Amino acid sequence: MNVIEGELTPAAHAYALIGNGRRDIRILKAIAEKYDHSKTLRAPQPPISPGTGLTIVARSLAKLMDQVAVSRYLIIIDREHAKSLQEAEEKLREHGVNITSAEKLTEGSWLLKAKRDSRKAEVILL
Amino acid sequence: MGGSCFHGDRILGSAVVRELDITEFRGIRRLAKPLELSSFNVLIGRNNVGKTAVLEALYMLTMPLPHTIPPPYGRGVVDFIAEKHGGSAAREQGRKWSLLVYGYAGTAVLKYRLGVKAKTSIPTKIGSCAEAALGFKEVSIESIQVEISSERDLLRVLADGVELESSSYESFLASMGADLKRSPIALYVPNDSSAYAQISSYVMRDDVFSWIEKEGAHRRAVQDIIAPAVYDKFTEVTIRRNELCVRKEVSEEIGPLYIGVGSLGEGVKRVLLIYMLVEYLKPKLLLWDDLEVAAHPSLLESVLRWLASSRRQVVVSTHSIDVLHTITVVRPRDCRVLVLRKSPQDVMEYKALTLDDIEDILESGVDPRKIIEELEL
Repeated sequence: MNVIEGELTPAAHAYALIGNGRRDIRILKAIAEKYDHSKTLRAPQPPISPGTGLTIVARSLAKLMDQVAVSRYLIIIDREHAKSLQEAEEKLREHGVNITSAEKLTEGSWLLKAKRDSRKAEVILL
Repeated sequence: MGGSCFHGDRILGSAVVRELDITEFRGIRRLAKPLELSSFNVLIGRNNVGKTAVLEALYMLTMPLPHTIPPPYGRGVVDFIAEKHGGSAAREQGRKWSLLVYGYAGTAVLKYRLGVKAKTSIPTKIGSCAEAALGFKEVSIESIQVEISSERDLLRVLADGVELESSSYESFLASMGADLKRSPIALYVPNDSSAYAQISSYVMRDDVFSWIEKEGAHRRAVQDIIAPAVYDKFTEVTIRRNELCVRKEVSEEIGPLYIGVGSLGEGVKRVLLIYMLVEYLKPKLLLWDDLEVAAHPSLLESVLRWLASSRRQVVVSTHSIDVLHTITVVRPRDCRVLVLRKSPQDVMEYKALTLDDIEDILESGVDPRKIIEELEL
């Protein structure tokens, strides 16, 4: 997997939304290095993010679901920002993203099916 | 209304070009759909996507036919664009404008749907065949088409399908309040230092600078546009010892200093020159490539406020997130960001985003430049 912050590739397969800042992107890049490079994960955040935490991530997800032809998202957020799945679901719902199903993957990570108006997305939250 | 508005112009506040279609022009084979233009347009997209080609295609409207030289670059529009892309060498090889045609062979076609009412006079025969006399018929125009043929090195201009000669084209321009010698319909500012040297020479012409001084544009350029963005206390632009200078106040002991414009920072120099040129020429359509070059965000804000305060149609290109952010602050009226994308087959497609869209995207913690590939068009 390639993690790209800019646009140096063709269309991305999934988007990574980082709620904590640059350190997590560096960790994600290092982890992605261990996998094959056939897929591209793009982090579409600006050079200076307007904020961190679940609110900004939920806002990003809602906007992106409206605008782009990407239906897979990886949300990485500190526990302090999302203490439980319910808290995350609530915040996403505030931004018009409804969770239709949630499958626990490991402790602290979930595979969510999300819907916003008629748009659907798969979201891995960890 | 500020000094930069077109007092008394017939196309006050209207977009000159509402729609542009491009076929086989420079790196663009065709557009997936014609490019709809607002009053204030910001082009974004990757390098080589065709932003400059779009600006150049719009600039052709100034006077596509040769032998007429609009200010300020001292050559015809087509020659100017061709030479920017190595056309001098092509001319020596007998391929004068082939560099403007996609793949250097065939015919480039540019179609403009006008946003304002225009008309022209076309020669026509009056009377029966035997005693026919040549007269002129006035016709209204909704669209202009320019064709550039590489093989025959030929340019053709058609208005609603009728071929126009230079005089008819000038009559069309006049109907839109443009004058090829004094006030061209469009002004193109390329990101090219040689063009800035030509602008500087043009601004320093006696007749031009006299007008600039008389109208106070030499003061407004520094006081309204530059001063808010720099530490220096500049007061005006002037000519001293045959050099364009800015007058700078330092202290009573030191007295004023006169700094050559060439000694100023690149961003300040460019903006000063463009401001005075635009105020003088009063183009109805301003085309500015890479607006952000050498400009700090404070200078960008100053420039964008000026551009937004005028009621001319503006098309700028940028790679800068500062420009995108600043337009959401300045909020020019009828403004859209045109996100350009190109297929491997060189078909350009685009999505128009409103200021609210851009603001939402930025506030959502997303960089609009980074989602271009996945944007749904």
